[in-house]
Amino acid sequence: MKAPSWFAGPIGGALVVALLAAFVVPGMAGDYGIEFATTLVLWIALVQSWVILSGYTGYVSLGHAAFVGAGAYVFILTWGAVPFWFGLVAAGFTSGLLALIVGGPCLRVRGPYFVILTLGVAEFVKYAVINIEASLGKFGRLMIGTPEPVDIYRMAVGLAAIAFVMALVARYSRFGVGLRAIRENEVAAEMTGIRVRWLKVGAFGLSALVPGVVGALMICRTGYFEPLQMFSPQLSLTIITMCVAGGSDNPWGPLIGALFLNILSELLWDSAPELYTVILGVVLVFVVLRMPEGIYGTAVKRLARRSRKAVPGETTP
Amino acid sequence: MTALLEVEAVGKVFGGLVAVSDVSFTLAQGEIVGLMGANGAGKTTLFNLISGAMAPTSGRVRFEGCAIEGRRPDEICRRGIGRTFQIVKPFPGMTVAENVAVGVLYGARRRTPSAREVAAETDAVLAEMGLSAMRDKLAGELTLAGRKRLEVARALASRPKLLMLDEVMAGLTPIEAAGALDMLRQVHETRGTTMLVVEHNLRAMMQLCQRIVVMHHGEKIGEGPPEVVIRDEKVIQAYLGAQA
Repeated sequence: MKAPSWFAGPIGGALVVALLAAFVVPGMAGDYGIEFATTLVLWIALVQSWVILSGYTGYVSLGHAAFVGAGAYVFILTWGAVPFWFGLVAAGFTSGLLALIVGGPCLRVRGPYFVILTLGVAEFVKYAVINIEASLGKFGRLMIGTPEPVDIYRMAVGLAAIAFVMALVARYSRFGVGLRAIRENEVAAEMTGIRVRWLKVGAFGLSALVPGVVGALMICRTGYFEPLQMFSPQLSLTIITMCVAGGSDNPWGPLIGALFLNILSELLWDSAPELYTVILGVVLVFVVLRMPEGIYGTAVKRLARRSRKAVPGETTP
Repeated sequence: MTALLEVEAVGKVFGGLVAVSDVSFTLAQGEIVGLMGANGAGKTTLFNLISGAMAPTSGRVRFEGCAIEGRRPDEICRRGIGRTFQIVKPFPGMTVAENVAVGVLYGARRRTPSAREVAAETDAVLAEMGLSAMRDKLAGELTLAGRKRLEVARALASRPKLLMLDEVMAGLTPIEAAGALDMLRQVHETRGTTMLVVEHNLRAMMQLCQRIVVMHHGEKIGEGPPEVVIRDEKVIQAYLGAQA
């Protein structure tokens, strides 16, 4: 655990990049550019939040769709009734609370069982909301008076920066070291004094805060809440794809994964509209086969191998 | 000497199988006690009962006078019982230093150590265990001897008052085993840590332990100084074989 000397660097760097992105990009990009940048930073926020539980503990969750949808639902229910910022905070905390409630029972199992269970929970929450809405005679809700796209973009940038710093602090804190020990060997972690259950549930709750706010911002963009869209399992699968492509042991991997996939698909869909999903699939297969630790993980490993070659004479006991 | 650990009539039954039956013994502060027995004698189950991995079906386990049977393993670790595993369980994707830091961060301490304290104590434990040169290697890249040494280091980093070692010499070459024996002696000399040791290497047990408890089919069949225990008729018949 290098609570590194560069630890303050990335946090300061993230704040500088966020400020630049928030105030310089809107002046340079048109409406299309701002919409693309908003999509990108919302994905960055989502992957950073996902990595806190799934990247660090190895509990691969398909539950993020539930947290995004729950946040969006709470936001739409409170829309107009409470101040905007209060609605955003309520969306985040509702998702966090939902994760704490379902986390206890869900985190008793691991591996594929946990994956399926979180998918099941997400689907359960989705259909619960659909049924509640149907019983109220509503199949979608409109929002009037949502913020301007550029303001939503700035809020999304702020959220992504917060998510990155959260993931970074978690990674190098006592909490994060405990989570990674759980991933490596849960029995040994518990025998080394780690409150395994508390840490796992805490990480689940923490990782659900940001998706709740993302859900709120997503419906602000469209001005419309529709449960099937907001609770879509494809969202969870896309998050996993980005994290697998980038690497998920620290915040840099998912950040690179989100940038890689968003920029690549943006470049491809314009130049090869019929083929771009096929090309994207081939690129992903290549990344998974050739770089199982993700782009960032593989790069770090290669650099470490090179530097080790430069320092001969190391022995293994 | 006051008893650090008291195991009182502890038993464990899995369905119809009696794994441990009515076993009692004590460990005094600073003592090294060996736990011997053939495979399936119940040694590792007894380790699991003491360390909280399993709850006993009957009996009591007291540590520093407090009943700990049935408590969670993490709580027992923080009270001051550290252990290693028969099948090593390092954190393979973390570096050697990070493995040790986990013990420092989550072990038996009154308050959470600062980052500086974690770094200093991690370095000290690595140096003590001869692992400083490997600090940035992944634990999964170490040899078996290295991983076993690392497990002891991780357990020591949690500042245990009682260290339970489950076959730390199994699978090692004679040279590696001798190195491990020296390492344990040194730990005992410098830290005065009480140890409960499961080991099949009889010579090592004779050299290391002040007292040996012998188990057979889940029951305690002998206890005493090593040189007395290995001459005990019951022990010879059950453990070493009738013709020995």
